[in-house]
Amino acid sequence: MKSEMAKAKTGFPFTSIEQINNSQLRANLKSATSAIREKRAKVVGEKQDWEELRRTGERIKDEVLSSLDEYLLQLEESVTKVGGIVHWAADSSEANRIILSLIQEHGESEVIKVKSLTTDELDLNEYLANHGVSAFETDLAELIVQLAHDKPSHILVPAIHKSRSEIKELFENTISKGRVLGDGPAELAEASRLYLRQKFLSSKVAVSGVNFAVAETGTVCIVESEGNGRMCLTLPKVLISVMGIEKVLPKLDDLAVFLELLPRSSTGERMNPYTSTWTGVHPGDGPEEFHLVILDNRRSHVLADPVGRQALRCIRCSACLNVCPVYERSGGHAYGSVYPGPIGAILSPQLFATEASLSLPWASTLCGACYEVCPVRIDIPRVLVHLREKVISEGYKSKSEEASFRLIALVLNAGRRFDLIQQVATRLRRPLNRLFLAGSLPGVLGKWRAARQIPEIPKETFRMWWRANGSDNGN
Amino acid sequence: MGATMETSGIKSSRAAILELVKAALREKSPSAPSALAGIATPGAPGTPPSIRKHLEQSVADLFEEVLLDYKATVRRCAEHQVPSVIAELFASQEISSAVIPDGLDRSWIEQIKGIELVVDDGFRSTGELASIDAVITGCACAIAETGTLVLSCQPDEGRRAITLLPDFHFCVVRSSVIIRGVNDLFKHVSVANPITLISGPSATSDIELKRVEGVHGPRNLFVIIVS
Ligand code: SF4
Repeated sequence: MKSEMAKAKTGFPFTSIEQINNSQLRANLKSATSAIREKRAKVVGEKQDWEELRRTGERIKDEVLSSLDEYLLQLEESVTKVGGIVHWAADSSEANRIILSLIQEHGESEVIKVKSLTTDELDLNEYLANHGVSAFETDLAELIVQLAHDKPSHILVPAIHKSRSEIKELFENTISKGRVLGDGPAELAEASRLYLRQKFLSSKVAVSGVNFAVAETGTVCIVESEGNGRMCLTLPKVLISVMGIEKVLPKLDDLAVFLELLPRSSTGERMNPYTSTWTGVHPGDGPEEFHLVILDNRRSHVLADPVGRQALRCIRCSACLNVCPVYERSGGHAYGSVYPGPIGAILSPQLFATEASLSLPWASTLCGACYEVCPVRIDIPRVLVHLREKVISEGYKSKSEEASFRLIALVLNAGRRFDLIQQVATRLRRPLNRLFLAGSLPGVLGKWRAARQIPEIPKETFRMWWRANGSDNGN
Repeated sequence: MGATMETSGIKSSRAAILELVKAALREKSPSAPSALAGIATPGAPGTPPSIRKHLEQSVADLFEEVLLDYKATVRRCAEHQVPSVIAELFASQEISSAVIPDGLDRSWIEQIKGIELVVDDGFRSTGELASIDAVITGCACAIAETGTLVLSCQPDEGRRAITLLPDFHFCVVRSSVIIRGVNDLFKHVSVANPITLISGPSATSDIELKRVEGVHGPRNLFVIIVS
């Protein structure tokens, strides 16, 4: 069951036009992404061994992927040994069925949830609702998105597109039970604390994702900020955690590496407020029953592509979103997938292969900033180019595009030449802007233009800007 | 292999997934990774001066500095001063009840006045714990570089719920248990128990990216570093 948005008939070029014109969204996004960028650069700059850490992260993930079947079996054995129950789900409908039947076995009609992209991918909340189970999101931003019947727009700050006055109004109409609220973030957070506290204390079943799972010990790890994760992992009687097959790590020491890489890349903190690990069931402390649902949902298909498989190294930190000039202008919804931004542009087409997602590899200027910040060194531009070629060769795109994107691949492969061409284009910006933006282009180029937002060629190229503003921030 | 659910449907998905994964791996990536390599040692020649300073700082100083960054309250004292420091911190806040884990050094709480103190026997309901204002714990491991308290359910740390539901957390950390970085973490703590890493009070930046201290976990964190 694909997400509604992934099913939509509109591809990135169309949705993005709509989103780019939303100035509130653009302003929120711009200040948000630049704030996180700065914080990240500062704390990454403090780690002298950052590059080594990135390479280590990359190697660990590649090692996992290269023997994934063995690590999954080892994880299953370890989790079972410490009292957990392992389930395997080939696709989203099977995962949803497993989760629903576990909830029903316990006679429950409500569950609490920790923010999880994997369960968003499953459209779990909708599935449960259709079967009489209410799922309550407990992460503040996810709660906002859920109450507004909206979709997340950023991996890390899903409600980045909502202003505080919109949130105040939303809370007054929903959780504050008629009480009038101020629009200070602290007061709004307090309103959600009061509302959710009761849910935490009364719920019997919690559903979570998984950040990391250690094959050697069966230890599962969740990284969070607010404490809602701890509540869900500690208070209910039954815990159901869903993980993509790629989340497994070989050893505990590998987990330590990712606990360094993730918070610095993600929220730009030395460490996020709360990280929890549990190793099966701990009598007298926490859930009495622990279920681990191991989900494929076409990840094995991604694994089969020797170039595209590196997307499975992703630890969902969102650093690539925050540096992406396209994301900054378009916002997350334009990608029409639970995985937005540069990572979404390489993961969504491989995972979902819907018509809309197949346009995503073009949602990039190939500037390379995403690769430079990625804590597991996913070469996103390279995968983008690879996917463009794949989409074309499988006949989804017209021949004329094939030629132009071959050209992009060519210039990209020679980084310096790409710089040079951009600089030349910058010089020629006036005449080129006139030509492209005026609209009427001849023949094939004209058709191509009609479906696309052509940005004005900027005074400086992104690389020029990045060199001047980005790289002296410590990365 | 481990005892998975015996339902045939689930069994077959397990086999199918493993089969797909195996098949997918037949084609190797263009640049196959080599064996795992270790992490470089910080402090090697060529370390920038700012980082050098960081490295020369004692772990306790560094720990304190990072904690202050998280808006935690920090006190440094000698062992015999712990009871008076805790009492003083309590007096500065509006606290009327506190819970302690069974294994806590009782001398630490001797001087606290006028509050209701309960010892967690492991059976108190979550509702009861949620109505208690504060918790006092020890700490068996802490990380300087990230200002992290590592709680692993030791007798003086208690089960997870007691450090989660009260709004004030007072944590006593002996400087001898502070390690420098995260990389060594699992050499110092065992995952046999659940582990909670706490780095500052709970926080969110979900509304217009303004950081708000405290959403669901304790909103006030007090750390007493004992030298
Ligand atoms: S691709 Fe890299 S930078 Fe982007 S979210 Fe994943 S790990 Fe982070």
